[in-house]
Amino acid sequence: MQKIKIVSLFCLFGWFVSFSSNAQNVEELVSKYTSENGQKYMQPFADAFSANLNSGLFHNAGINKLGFQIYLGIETQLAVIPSSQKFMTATTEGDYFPSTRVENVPTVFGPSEGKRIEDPNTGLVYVFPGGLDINYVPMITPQLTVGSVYGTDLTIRFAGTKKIEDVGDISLFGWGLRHSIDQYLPLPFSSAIGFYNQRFKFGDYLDASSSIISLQGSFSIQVITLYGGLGYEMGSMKISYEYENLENGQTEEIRFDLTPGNTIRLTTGFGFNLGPVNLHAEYNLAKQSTISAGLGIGFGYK
Amino acid sequence: MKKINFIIVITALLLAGCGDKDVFLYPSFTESGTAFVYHEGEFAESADIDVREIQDAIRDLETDGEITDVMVEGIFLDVALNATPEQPANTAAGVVSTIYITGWDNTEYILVENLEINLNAATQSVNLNQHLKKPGVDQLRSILKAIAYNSVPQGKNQIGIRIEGNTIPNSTFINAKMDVRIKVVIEYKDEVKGL
Repeated sequence: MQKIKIVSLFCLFGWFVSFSSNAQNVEELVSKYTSENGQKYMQPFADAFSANLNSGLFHNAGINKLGFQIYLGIETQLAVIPSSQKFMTATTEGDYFPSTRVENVPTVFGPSEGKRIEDPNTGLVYVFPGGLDINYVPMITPQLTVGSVYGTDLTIRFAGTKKIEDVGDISLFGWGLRHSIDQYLPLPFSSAIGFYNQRFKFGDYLDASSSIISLQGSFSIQVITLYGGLGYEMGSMKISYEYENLENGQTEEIRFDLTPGNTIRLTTGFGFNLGPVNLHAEYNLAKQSTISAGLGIGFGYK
Repeated sequence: MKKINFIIVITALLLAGCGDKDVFLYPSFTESGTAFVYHEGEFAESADIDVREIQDAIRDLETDGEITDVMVEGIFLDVALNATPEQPANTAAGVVSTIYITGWDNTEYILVENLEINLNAATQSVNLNQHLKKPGVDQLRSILKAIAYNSVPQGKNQIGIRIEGNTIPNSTFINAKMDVRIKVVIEYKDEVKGL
């Protein structure tokens, strides 16, 4: 059986650093999951990943009508995995064991020990794979926002790595456009509407895209900015891997097309503006909630 | 046996970042013991499985961790008629079979008792899960555990499986290959290195 190197990904210029740790064999972790159970098993990952991508995209709704504005910073996101995302209802697969519907089966974030079902009459045992016992999914992304042209600014997220053994290329590209609303309406606070789109690729294994439309508002008092927003999220995640049957030597592609479950998102946050330095933190309330914090340098933003 | 190139699950772990994690893995494989049955009326044949075959199957899984359990997920009986062409053709319409497994202490345990199978197809696979006897399955699991844990008693190199039965109607001729196919699940505990 081919070994897979675990490639740890984190912060490279504020995003992913890749490096290999010990070669580990986790290929069989979800070997039983080739159908509906697999979708359910991976769904929480899609939810958390997408929720992180859509966090920390803005920390101020103030956009000048014209003039140079720039912000360059690092955004950190943390999806806190609720217990409801750690378990699923699954049905035994294959011909050997009688078809049985089972509650509290681990998802990818669930407990590492598999769920066993034993037939008391025959002693046969069916095991659903365990998860990775994960409580948080963090992410770090670099972010650049530049404006303004007629109250519009552009946000870019970009990161990537060269080909990694056993994985391939890893890349993230995201863009977003915001347009000021308060330039048209006499509001007591800054407001904008924005659209962001991001795509993350992890070799041939994962292709995720995420979009969010958000209505943003902010209010600044001296060095403090309070901000918030209401967003609508959309996304998709395609996961694929190879399944090889050693009995017949044939390899087939197993593919999951997942739709992240997040839709409505409520953001509330605050920031400190210390000269050009901005430090901010926010909470995003959604089906998969996240915490986000960022640090950067900006010029021209209110 | 099956294998998977699966890396995406790791992503979640990687993004979660730091620390080593224990994971439990559940690879599986199938092995079978074969009996060629060509008899008139009553018969008794061995369908033993080599201990070495099980050892090789476990070795083929190439999992680095520690084996923590062995389970039997299911058992099939595959029947192929007229598998021994130099013998007379099968004339039996059916067969009633009992399958025994022999423990390391040479005690026989019933896996399946008086299972009636219609021999109306050239090949067929019979899922035994509705017919299995728990003491027999438990004994099989115990034997498989001993193999996985390298604690097979000296001189034991076969998992003893015996199929005995009678033809329907009586005194007709059975010419069939009978495979007792077992699906085995191995539980490994492995450690995944984080950051």
